[in-house]
Amino acid sequence: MVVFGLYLLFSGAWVWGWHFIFVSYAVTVFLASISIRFFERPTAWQVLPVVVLIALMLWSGLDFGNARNERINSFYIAQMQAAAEFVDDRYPDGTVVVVGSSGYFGQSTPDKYVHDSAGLFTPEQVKAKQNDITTHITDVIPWDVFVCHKDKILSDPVSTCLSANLYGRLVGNFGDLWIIENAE
Amino acid sequence: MTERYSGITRLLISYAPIMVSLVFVWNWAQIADDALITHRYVENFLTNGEPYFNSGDRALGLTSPGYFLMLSGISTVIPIAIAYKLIAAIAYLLAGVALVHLFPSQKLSHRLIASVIFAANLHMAYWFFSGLETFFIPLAAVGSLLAIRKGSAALLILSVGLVVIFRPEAWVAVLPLTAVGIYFTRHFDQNHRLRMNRRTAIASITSLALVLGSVSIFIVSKYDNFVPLSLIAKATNNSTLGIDSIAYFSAGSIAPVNLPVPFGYVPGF
Repeated sequence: MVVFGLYLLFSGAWVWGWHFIFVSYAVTVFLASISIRFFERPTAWQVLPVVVLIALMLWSGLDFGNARNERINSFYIAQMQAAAEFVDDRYPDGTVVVVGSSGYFGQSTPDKYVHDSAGLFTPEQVKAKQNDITTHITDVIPWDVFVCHKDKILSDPVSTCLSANLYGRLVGNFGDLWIIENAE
Repeated sequence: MTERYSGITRLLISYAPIMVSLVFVWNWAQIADDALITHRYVENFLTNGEPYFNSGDRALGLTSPGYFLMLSGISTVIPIAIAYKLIAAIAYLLAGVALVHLFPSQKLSHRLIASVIFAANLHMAYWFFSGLETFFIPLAAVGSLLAIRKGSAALLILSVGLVVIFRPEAWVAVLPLTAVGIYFTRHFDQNHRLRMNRRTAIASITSLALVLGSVSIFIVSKYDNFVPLSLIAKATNNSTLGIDSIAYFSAGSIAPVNLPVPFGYVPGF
């Protein structure tokens, strides 16, 4: 657990919540071993801390899961999926779309060429970023539609989302998502 | 308490909390965004025979080729929306049963309390059912520990060897744990020694080589890159160690027993 923890801290890679499933499991083993010791010859005073621990775990877990569900509903379904359906209806099959998170979006646009801006399916973008970390995917590949995510109100979304040498036209907006069409 | 119940009743009582938790989380946890990336790969593979995110692009963006192949296989029989939950449910049950069996005492009350603690960790259960493959890391870790306890070198070889096709960075967790487990067993528990005869050794190593070889051939023949682009891309976005990353790490570490305030408000200290 220590080695894995150091990896999460020092690897430099993005660390997401799901990486902690191993840590969470190790914590469970630890808590279970302590609880079993309390239950060698259980008295009310020994049962109480275990009951409190279980209540705390349930409360914490429900709180965490509900918050994640809420985030999925409010962002990935209400915005990302809605934007995907908009793009899917408006543009022909084979349209190249650049998007920040490609899961829910890609699910609703099966016939579009979806590129994740992190470069998950775009080796050119990964190579370009290795040379210059600030490189944006819209500078690297030919694109038709860019779904830009900015979590604040933008006075000029097109110029905020695109490099100075690119031209785009704002065609839609779903919450924090700005749908920009290539105007070149 | 032990003598009062038959074997099946003991089994039902021991694992009832895990089953209750399983049913709850099956219906509660929503699928993560990244999981749907794998689903699109699977759907394209099953529909067009192209294991790609975008038709013809030959980029391996999956983090887990092993999980992708497993999900593809099961999704030929049942819908993918159920297939991923089925895999998660089996993994969750295995992880729970393994945890209960990790402890030397198998008294019913002890098994029950271990089972309740496992079931109460809804943070972990949520990630099991989020559609991501990271649950293979604790599964392989506990599999290797059980293998060491039972003295089964074959199970150890398979647990440690196979996990890399499900999650490459799993070795960072599993190898040190295995090394520590073997060291302590050799020095402090003479009754538990890893055992393996020649036939078992050949069978387990051959099985491992066959699986790893098949997956490697699949990757080389279907994709332009052997190392998943997701790993390279995410490593390219270097994050530096700072107070934010330490706070995030701490919050993740205490998540199973985080204070009951909205998640994310407590940095973990």
